[in-house]
Amino acid sequence: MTTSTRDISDNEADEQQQSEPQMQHLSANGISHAGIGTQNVQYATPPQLGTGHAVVPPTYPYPDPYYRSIFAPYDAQTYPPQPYGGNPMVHLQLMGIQQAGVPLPTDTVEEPVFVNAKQYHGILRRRQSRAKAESEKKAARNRKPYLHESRHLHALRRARGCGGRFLNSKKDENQQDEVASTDESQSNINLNSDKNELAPSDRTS
Amino acid sequence: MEDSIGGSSSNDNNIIKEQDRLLPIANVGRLMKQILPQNAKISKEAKETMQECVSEFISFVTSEASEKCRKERRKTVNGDDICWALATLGFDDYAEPMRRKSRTKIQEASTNQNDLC
Repeated sequence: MTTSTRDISDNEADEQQQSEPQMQHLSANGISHAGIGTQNVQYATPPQLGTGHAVVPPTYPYPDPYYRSIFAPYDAQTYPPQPYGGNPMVHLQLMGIQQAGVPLPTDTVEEPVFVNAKQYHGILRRRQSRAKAESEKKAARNRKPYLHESRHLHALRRARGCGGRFLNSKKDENQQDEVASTDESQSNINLNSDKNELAPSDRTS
Repeated sequence: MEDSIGGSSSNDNNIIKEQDRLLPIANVGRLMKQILPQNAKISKEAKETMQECVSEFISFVTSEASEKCRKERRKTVNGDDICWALATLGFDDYAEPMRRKSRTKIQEASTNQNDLC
C-alpha cells in the first residue's frame, strides 16, 4: 500500500520533471522536420530528442557498403513494426566503426534507419526488453475503455445535463475542464470520471 | 485500494496490465494542456500517443541508468544515475537542470530527515 503510493508519486515526479522539456523539444523537432520534409514517425520521440541535440553532418565520410540508405539523418524510429501476434526480430549486429548517425537495422523487409550513436545500444536493449516482455508475458495491447465495471456502471447511472456532462455543482467545473480538452465527449466522460475517481483515493491513501 | 484493484481485475499474473505499463492518461493530458492556450483542445489519439512516448522514454532512460548500476554492482538506481543516463544518451540540455533539481531535493530531504528513494 505505502510502496505503491510512493511509486505513483515517483512516477508523477518524473513525469512532471521530464514531460515539459520534452514537449518543448518536440515543437523544435517539428520545425526542423517540416524544413527537411522527412516522414513523420509516430513513436519516435526518444531518438528524435537525441538527434535534435547532436548535430549530425549531412554527408558521411565513410558510407557503409552494406546499407545504401538515402534516409535523412534526422529520421528516427524506436518502435519496429510489430504484427499483433508476432514477436519483433531483434538484430544484435553491432557496427564495427562508430559513425555519426549509426544505421540501425530493423526488420529484413525495411531499410535501416539512422539514429543517434549515443542511443544505439540503448535502443537495442529496449527492443530486447520489449521482445522478452511480449514472449514471457502477454502485454495487453488493446486498450480498455475502463478499468472497473462497478465504477463504469456508477458513471452510467449519474445524472447528466445538456451536452452530456454530469450534474454536480462542484465536479461540474472539473468535468468542464476535462471535456474541453477532448474531442470525443461520450467515451472521454467515462474515462475521465474513472481517472478522477481513482486519483482522489490515491491521494487519500 | 490494492484489494479492490486485485479483486476487480483478473488474477492472471502473466498479463502486463495497461495501467502498469503506461502512465495515467489523465495526468498526461493535464501536462499537455499546461503549455497550450486556454481554448486549445487535445484529441484522445494525441493523448494516447504522448502516453506511449513518455512511458517509452522513461523506460529508455531508466534502462540506461540500470545498465550502469549493473556494471558497478549496485542495486539502487538513484537520481545521479538518471542524470548521467540523460547525458549519456545525448540529452545534455536536460541533464544540468535535473542535477540542480536533485540537489534541491537532497537539501529538502536532509532538512526534513526524509528518506529519498
